[in-house]
Amino acid sequence: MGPRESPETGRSASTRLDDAWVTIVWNDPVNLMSYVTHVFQTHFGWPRAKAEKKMREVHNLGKSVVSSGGLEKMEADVQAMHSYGLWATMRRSGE
Amino acid sequence: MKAFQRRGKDAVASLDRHERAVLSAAFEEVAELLDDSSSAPSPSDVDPALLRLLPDAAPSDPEVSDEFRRLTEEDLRTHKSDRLKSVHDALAGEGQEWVVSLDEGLSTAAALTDVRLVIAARLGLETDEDATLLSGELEVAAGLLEGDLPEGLGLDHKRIWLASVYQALTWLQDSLIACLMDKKGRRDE
Repeated sequence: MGPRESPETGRSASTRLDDAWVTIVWNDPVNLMSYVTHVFQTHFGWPRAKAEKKMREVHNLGKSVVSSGGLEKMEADVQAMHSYGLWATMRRSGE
Repeated sequence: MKAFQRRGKDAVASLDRHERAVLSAAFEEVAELLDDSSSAPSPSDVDPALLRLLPDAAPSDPEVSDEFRRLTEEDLRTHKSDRLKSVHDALAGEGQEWVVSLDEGLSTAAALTDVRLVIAARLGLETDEDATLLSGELEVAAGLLEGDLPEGLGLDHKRIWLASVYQALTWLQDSLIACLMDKKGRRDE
């Protein structure tokens, strides 16, 4: 473990769990609009209209923030999106 | 080839023997790519196809990206690979029909995405415009092959073949998702 890691979590000081993070889904030329909508409905439990609105943000604006919260929750969301083949990243909110 | 259609609690597509062989090989190939743990996607010197299957989680924060890989990469590889193999097995059977229960539909659709991501990386598709251009390329190629266009435009046969597989997978996935959304729509009513 490096000197910047905190003893409680084994995580580095720059990735504390109480930080606020966001998950972003990016547009890509492969994923179909219907598929992205269906994945959003399934994973986030959104109604069809909200899932479509978010999908259109991804498609038209290039990206959309789909969730926010602690680092661990965002890791779970990004992992789920990657598992479905969506291009997702996370970053600290406000960056 | 016939696209997926609803039949009771299943979605059913129809493929001939040759189409089944081509598609099942594609699923197997992507599973093998994921099973090869020496193919670690580090930011430099990486197969773009693998990086698309296992993207960087936090490009602005390498520490978080590394941590994410440490925590999730093995699970993601196994999950994707198992899913691809199960589609491969379904396609390796006899008969023309490809039957997917609606309960497993999303898993099959996700496996279709993984194969399409890899082919798209091989074809260099990076933008929506690239994808549109590819359709045009295929139309030109179809014209050439049917003798409607003059010879000598320089067909890249391997690329055209990959693009045809990509297009077939896209078409199948689109029809499968329509079956799934139809089911969800009815349940939500």
